[in-house]
Formats: sequence, structure tokens, C-alpha cells
Amino acid sequence: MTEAAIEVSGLRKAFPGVQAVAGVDLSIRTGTIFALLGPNGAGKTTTVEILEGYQQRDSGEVSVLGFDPARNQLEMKRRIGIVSQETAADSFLTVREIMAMIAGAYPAPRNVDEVIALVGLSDKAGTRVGKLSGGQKRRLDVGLAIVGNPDLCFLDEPTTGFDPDARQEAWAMIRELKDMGKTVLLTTHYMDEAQNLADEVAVIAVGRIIATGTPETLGGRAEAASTISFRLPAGTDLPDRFAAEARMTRRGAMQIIADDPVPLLNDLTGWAMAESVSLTDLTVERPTLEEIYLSLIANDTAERKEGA
Amino acid sequence: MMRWLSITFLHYRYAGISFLRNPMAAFFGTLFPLMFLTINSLVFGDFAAPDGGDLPMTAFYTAGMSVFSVIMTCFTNLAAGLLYDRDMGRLKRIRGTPTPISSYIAARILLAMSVGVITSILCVILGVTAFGVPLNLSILPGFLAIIILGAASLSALGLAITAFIPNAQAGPAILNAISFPIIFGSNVFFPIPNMPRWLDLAANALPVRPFADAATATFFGGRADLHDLIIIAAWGGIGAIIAWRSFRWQPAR
Repeated sequence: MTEAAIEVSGLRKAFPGVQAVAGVDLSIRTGTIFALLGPNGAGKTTTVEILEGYQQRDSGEVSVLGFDPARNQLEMKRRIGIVSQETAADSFLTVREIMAMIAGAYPAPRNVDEVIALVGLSDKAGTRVGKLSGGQKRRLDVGLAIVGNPDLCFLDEPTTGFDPDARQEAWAMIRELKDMGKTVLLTTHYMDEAQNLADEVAVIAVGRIIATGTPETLGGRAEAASTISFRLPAGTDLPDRFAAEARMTRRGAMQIIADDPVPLLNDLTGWAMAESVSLTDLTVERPTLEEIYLSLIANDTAERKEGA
Repeated sequence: MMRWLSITFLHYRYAGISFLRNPMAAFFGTLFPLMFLTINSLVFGDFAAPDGGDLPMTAFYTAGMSVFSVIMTCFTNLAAGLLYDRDMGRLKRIRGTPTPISSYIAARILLAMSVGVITSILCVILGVTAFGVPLNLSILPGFLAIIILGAASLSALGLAITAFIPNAQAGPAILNAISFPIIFGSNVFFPIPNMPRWLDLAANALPVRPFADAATATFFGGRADLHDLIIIAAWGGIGAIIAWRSFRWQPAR
């Protein structure tokens, strides 16, 4: 399972006036879910479209399942499935018809009705695509990407426009792809999506990868300081040894930031028990993936300004 | 090869289903020519056809509207449909699947040709049954061969022209601006006996007048001019080469 499904090094692509991709290196292991995160215009979609064969690169080495996507071979297309931005299905065809049309291009497709059920469109199988809601169309997109039973799925923002239920179902389906041994390259704006699904994440900004890791370790998240939050009853003051470290949020909660939260918590709860003070809403949190992501992007922007 | 054929048939079938469910496409491709045939025949049907011996003018209109229906379905509708599908991202989706390019394009061309040929036959049936056009069945194979040749040539040109049209909104305006002046100067709606020489030369070098003249000649029981056939085929070849080299699957950025 260590063999790479996708191998990219030194990938570059410029459009008039913009260096959209400025030297990207990626290695995605077979059978894993890899999430590519980044702000709009960072080069996510350009990178993914080069891997899919939609766009030609300027330079760099790219291997997708051992193929060079620039050569646009049908053998590669038979083994990949794509949920893309800016694609649509013929609105006069029904869900089942469009699914059969796409499935027919693959050598060993999955059962059409099974896939329709998997994406939760069984009761819409006979409905024309033009009559589906936005979220239903996106689910159809996901179904069309997997109906060919591909080894590698490109999912470019696959859950945009989904309600929370539908997202949970889509996530379950993506995990199922992984259980079947498939490789998934996911791009997303939703950090909880990356947190829930990805084995590995990479953050891209201004055409370069600025951080890679697991959702737990990205950007030093595992070692990052924890935040202890709680509320004090009115009229109660913290002892001085805590008060020096603590700050009050706008909503009146106390927060203490600690590199090692265990001794401090022991001390704090010991004091509270001894004095019969109730610490309501007590939580201990490491920074979320979203906070780490935002600080990575902010640091990168600041460094770029200094360099300029 | 079997895979290629089965994928071509698959796209032919589903593009056909989609066409039949799309009232606008069906209207312009098929009802429009039949409507013109009816109006022209009712208004001018009593005149004698030019070069037609004792054939009535309705015979000329029947042949002309058969040609017109091929131009509408194979050139205008095929190009406008592809532009729309390109803008909507439908072509991009097909491109992401293991569909051979040649197979998809062949399916779209074959569908346009089928609709064009069927509409031509409907024109003939309408002319014969409603307007008393005399029909000698022996002319049909020759006439249909010309219709099929013209349909193939105009489909290739319809495919080629999409490379030069930026988006679907611009499509109908550009397509009609190209096709209608040529159609009016090409003996499709009415015969033009005395055109200025330069216009005459231009019309003979473009594909529509040779197509219309060949269709009319065979429909009147004569033979098509070999020169006309070469011009029709040559334009088809040029269209096919341009289409092959510059066909775009996505709208320009």
C-alpha cells in the first residue's frame, strides 16, 4: 500500500499574467484519501485539472497511475473518475439514462442502479436531470465519478451545496471508496471535511505547497498549545497564580493557554473543588484544523509581503 | 473497434433521446423547413419551375426546403448545440471519461445527419401529398445520396465553426449571419437567374449552391453536375480537418 498513485514534482503552469502553479510536489499513496486545501485562486483546481488531463502543464514531472496525463490516454481515463467544477449533465436525460451513458464508456462499470442508490437518488432515477436541485445534481456528479469503478477518484469540492445530512452520507461513501482500496484526491473548503476524511492533507497557497501532514499534525498542530476555557460564578475571582495567565473573552468566559495543560488543569480543578467553585463549560482544546490552516495562510501572506 | 462502435452508438442514442425531448431543437430543425415549404407552395405554387420542364414550382420548393432542412440541422443546430453543451460543461464531462474523441464526434454528426435526412424525406412527403408534386420513385436513390453527401459536408463545417465562436450566446447570431446570406444567394428559397457575375462565382464556390443545384437536378430526374459534387465534398474535407485540429471541449477562459 506504499506505492504512489500520484507522483508530482516541480509542476508549473502559467496563464497570461499569473503563475497559477509555481513548483508543486505531491506524492499520494495508493489506497489513501488525500485532501488538497487552499484559498480560491491558490492553484488547487489548476493542479487537479493537470492531473486529470484537462490542462497541459508548462513543466515538471507528473505520473497518474503510471500514466502521463498530458498524453490523454484512454487507458488512464478508464481508471479514473472525476467530480469537476463547471461540468453538467444533459438536462433532458434522466438520472438513470445519464448514468448508463457514462457507465457505458468504461470497460467494467458498477451496477447503475446500485450507484444511484449509493448517492441517494433512487427515488429520482426516472427524473430528468434538469429537474434536480443543486445538491441532487452534485450527488449525481459524485455518482457519475464512481460508476466506472475507477481506481482513482478526483473529487473537486464534492460536497458544495450539500445539507448536513447529505454531507454525512457523502463522507460515508468516500470512506467506502477507501475501504474498497481506491485512492481519492479531494479538494475542499471545508476543514471538517478534511479532518473527517483525509489520511493526509496539503495546503496550497499562491501556487506552492506550504505545508503537508496528517490532519492531526499539520503545521505543528500536535505540539501546539491547548486552550482551557471555563466560566466562573459571578463574584468569584481566580487566584493570582492563574489570573496572570488568564484572559477574559468578550462573552465573559476565561481562557488560559498552556503548552502542557495537564498540571495546570490539576491545579485549577483542585482549587475549584477545595473552594466549591463550579467551573461551568470547562473545555480543553487544541487549535482546530481550521485555525491551523488560517494561521498557515496568514504567515505565508506575511512572509510574501516581507520578501517583496 | 467493437468498443468504439458501441460507445458511438451509446452517445448517438442518448443525444437522440435528448434531441427528441427538446422542443426548441425539434422546431428549428424540422418544423421550420416544413413551414416554409407550406407557405411558399401556397403562395407561389402555381408558377412553373425553372429548368424543370413541365414540373410545378412546388417541386422546386420541395427540393429547396430539403436542402434548407439539412443546413439547419447539420450546420446551424449541430454547431449551436455543441456550443451550448460546451458552455454548460457537458463536453468537459465526456472528456473526463474513456470516450474516444472520434467516437463522440461521430455520434453527434450521425445524429445531425439522421435528423437532416429524415426532415428532407418529410419535406418530400409533404410536397407530394399536400401540394401535388409529381414523384418518380426512381429519382429517390440519387436525390437521397446528394442529401446525405450535403449533410455530411455541412456537419463537418458545423463542427469546424464552433472553434471560432467564443460562447453559446454568440452562436445563433454568428451562425445565422453566415448561413442566411449564403442560403439566399444559392437557389434554396427561390431560383435567381441573373446574379451579378462576382456573386455568381462566389455562390458557386461555396457549398450551398452546388448542394441546392445538385439536389434540384436529381429531384427533377436529371443528373448532378460532377463539379458541384466535388465542391460539396471539398468543403466537407476542409471542415473535417479544421474540426479535427481545433475542436474545443471547454469554453475559452
